Amino acid sequence: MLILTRKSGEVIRIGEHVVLRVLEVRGQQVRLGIEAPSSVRIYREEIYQAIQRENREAAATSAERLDEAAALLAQRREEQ
Amino acid sequence: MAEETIRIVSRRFGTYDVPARQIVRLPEGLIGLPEARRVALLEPKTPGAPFRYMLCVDEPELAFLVCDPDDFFPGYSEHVPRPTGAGPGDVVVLAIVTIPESPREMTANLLAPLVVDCRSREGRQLILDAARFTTRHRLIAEG
Repeated sequence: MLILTRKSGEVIRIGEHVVLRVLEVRGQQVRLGIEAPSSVRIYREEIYQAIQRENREAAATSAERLDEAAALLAQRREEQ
Repeated sequence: MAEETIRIVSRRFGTYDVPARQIVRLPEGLIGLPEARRVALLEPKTPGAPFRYMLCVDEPELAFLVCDPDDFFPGYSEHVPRPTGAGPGDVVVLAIVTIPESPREMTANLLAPLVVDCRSREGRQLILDAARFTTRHRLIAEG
């Protein structure tokens, strides 16, 4: 891993199109400004991981459970 | 001329011949499942049911239940950004459903909806505001 030390207001450039700016350092928190093309997806790591977990869990459903859930939703529709 | 169909053979879910126009491309895959690049959205047998089956064309053992989130959470899709230039009718918003062992406790992932642009038949999984939505919103109320 490349490790760099930066002060508030300083910048790191990643490749041609991505700029990371340290906006503020306060105690345990760092505020970062990121400039990148819209094709670059930027996520907070813990949120990305939560969605990754959820997608994998949703994909792990058995055919039986899928059918049972579908029946419950169809039934809910009829009750409305 | 006969319409082109794509055959999906799944050990777990059966065999389907899906019209090519019902296939949605996900150029980035799903988050954590980058192999899910082409999916088929299949209508359930119950007409007008607020959900679809989503089968992965290239990974036929991967299948999901997806729902129309507005049917369960009115107004939800207003929070979902649309692709540039897309009108209201050009976009379909779907929420991926997680089904636990007790299916009655199934939940919809409102934090990361699937947004399909009907014009290009391309979709993307977006991530919305985590202060507002989570990966698990119950579809059927407890009790």
